[in-house]
Amino acid sequence: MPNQSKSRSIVTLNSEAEAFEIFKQELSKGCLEVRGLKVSFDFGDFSYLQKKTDGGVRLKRLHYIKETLGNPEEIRESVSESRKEKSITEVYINTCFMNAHESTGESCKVVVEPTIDFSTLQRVYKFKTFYLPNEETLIKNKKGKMLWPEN
Amino acid sequence: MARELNIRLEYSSEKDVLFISVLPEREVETRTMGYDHSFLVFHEKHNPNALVGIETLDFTETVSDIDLTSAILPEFDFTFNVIGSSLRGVHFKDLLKWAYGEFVAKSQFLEAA
Repeated sequence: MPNQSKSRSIVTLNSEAEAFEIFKQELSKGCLEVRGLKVSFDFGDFSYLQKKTDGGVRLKRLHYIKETLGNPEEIRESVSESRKEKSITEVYINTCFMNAHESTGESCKVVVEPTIDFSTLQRVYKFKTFYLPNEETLIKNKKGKMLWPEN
Repeated sequence: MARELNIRLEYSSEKDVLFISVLPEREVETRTMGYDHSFLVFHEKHNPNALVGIETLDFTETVSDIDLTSAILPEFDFTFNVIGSSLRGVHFKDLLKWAYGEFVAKSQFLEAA
């Protein structure tokens, strides 16, 4: 069932020169995801996103991260069954469009790790990764347990 | 004979991520194949066979689990040459083990010495 509260994500690309300022303004202090939980980032995350292992696509799409956390199509649980210690991450799935007229958009995923803020004993999230999945990966992720929107 | 790729390795101890860049490095539109959120394989957007890079997340934990969980490893039709080392023609699993020795075990040994 489509998510009725979802609005179209129209997000512009940024230049590499703008990237650090965007990270500082939008992400470094943390941001709220769609359910009102805080997602935290540190400057090591910027160093990570700066790497060109991905051909440089993520650094030009930093606005996608906040938009996807705050306005996702859905959130899925991802359980790493293959580890000795099972790890659970949550995957925010979205499609971002460059403008109102674009028809296809780009699928993107933001992955966070649930953790506890021991100073407040509240559930918080730590940013893990962000990328543009290929079709096969997207299909695989959509098989995970749906966490949001709730049925 | 398997095709060989020249690669550059970089390890971030802060984020515990191994970055594998396929040479020559290039800025290009990519899409990502994700394996259990441990391995991200970046390929050219319109050519899944053109590998651009690979990231191993939670590298230390992932590599220490590999022998038990090889099913999660991405499979590649080529082998790797690590630029700046004598390592040539290795498969992905052996590359990870070598990188673990080079970036994690060696620094732990030096810290302890």
